[in-house]
Amino acid sequence: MTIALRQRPLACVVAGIVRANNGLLFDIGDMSTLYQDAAGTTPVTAVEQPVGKMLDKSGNGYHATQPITASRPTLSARYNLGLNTSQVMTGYNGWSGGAAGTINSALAPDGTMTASTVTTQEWMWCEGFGGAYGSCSFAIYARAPSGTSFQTSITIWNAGTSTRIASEIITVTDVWKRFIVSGITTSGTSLCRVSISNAAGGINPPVGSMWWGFDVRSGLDMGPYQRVNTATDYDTDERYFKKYLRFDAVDDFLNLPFMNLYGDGVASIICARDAVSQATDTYIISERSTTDADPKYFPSRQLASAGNMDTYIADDASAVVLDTVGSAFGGAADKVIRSVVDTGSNLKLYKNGALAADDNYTRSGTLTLNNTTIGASVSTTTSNYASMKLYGLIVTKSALTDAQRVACERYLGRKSGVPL
Amino acid sequence: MSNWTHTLTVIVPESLITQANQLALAVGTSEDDINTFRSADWTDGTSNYAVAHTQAVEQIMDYFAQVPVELASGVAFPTISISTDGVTTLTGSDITKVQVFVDAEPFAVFGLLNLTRKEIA
Repeated sequence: MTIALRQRPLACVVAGIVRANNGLLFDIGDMSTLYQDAAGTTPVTAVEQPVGKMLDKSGNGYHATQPITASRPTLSARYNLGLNTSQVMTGYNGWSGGAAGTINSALAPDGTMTASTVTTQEWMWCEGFGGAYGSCSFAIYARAPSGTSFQTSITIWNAGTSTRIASEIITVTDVWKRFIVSGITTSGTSLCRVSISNAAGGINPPVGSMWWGFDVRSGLDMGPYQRVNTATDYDTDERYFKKYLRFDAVDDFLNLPFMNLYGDGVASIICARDAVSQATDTYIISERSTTDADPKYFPSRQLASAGNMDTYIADDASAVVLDTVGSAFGGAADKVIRSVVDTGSNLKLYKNGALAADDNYTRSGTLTLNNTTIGASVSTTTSNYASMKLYGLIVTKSALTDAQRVACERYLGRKSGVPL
Repeated sequence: MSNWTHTLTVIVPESLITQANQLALAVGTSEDDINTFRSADWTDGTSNYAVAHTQAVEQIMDYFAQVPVELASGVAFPTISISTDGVTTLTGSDITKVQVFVDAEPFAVFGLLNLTRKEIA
């Protein structure tokens, strides 16, 4: 007799976990769940379209909506922050000074006639691409004139202070080669600049040298070159460029039906990047009252924020203090998965599946909340918004077991490309 | 490819929030756009402003051209240019009007206008 054991697909297992725990499941990469309007009448058909409605895949009906046009987040798969219409040398946020060159004048590594050739030896630089990430990377293909080689210097700068973030001398030969330089910023809010120059013993890019594939992005994980023709026209190969929902930190957020997450314990499993501040962790998912300034509850981070939830914690005497563990996403310029599991008397934070904080506490008082949002903390008088790129989100209305949490983390990891 | 090819960053003096919401309703896609600007939670230290940042369709300037003149007269379209040596120039700014920046990075706009958010917890 043969007994065949068939394993249920992970997606089904996770949907079952979320459904049984009265939660929600958002998968940004599944474009069939996204609509441009809040009514759900106009599907999202391409990247760089606004998202006014996002369907909950658990079956529990916690669909997210945003009726106000300007407040809708944007579906994106863009990683290369440079706008390099002609690959190098021209274009806003492309090369913007120094060396002159002829675009589309040389055979590029991809076999197209899209590489640029330097005609005046001078340093090359560009700036204006985003800071506030904690780390950034730059890549470019280079080739020397036939039979020659040269050394030059690639430097990433903080454009605001003109201090170096990273610098490397490269040796360019007459064979195309891709060069990657990454650096970690200590001052996170200024825009970055990249230069290729005679600094540190190299020479400025010489006449006849060829350049292609300008790529600059947040984080240390460069990945394959992403060609960007315009802000809405770029490579979207799903193997390399996973889709995410971009929240602009100005006014973007999504409304959920009120979930009352504080009631019975909660778990949130989040895959995001570029969410570098404690505040942003807070606003990934939050609950508050629209009639009172306080209290508020932030299931996507350690519980308390001084002056808010502290009132509702009677005892927090253990070594790890709930609100001072630090930002769950601090410095996370690359995709990461963070899980917060709150039983009502114990709080755990997991970073990419590993336990990072474990704290017992005692609640006191009763919260009266009526508003659940993604990407913002919406108050009666003013609101704060998250700057983040969200790949997937699972929230349940009870604290998951370890096995359930791990399944959810693996699911989001597979969908978004985070190895767990 | 998306036809949402522009971005708008809109700066609204507190006294013009009602007019700005009428403008948002006129060029937006939803009846709820009348609530686009809710509170003036940005400040330059002297006055308070409401702000918005949004994707916009490629015909957005045509839509602006069709709004009633009494609304359009209160709107300015400043521009930002960056010279080859990195100097940023702001042209056409008028802080007494609703200012609409097209295809500008929002936080660069806020920086140029010395606007900071009045943070809450």
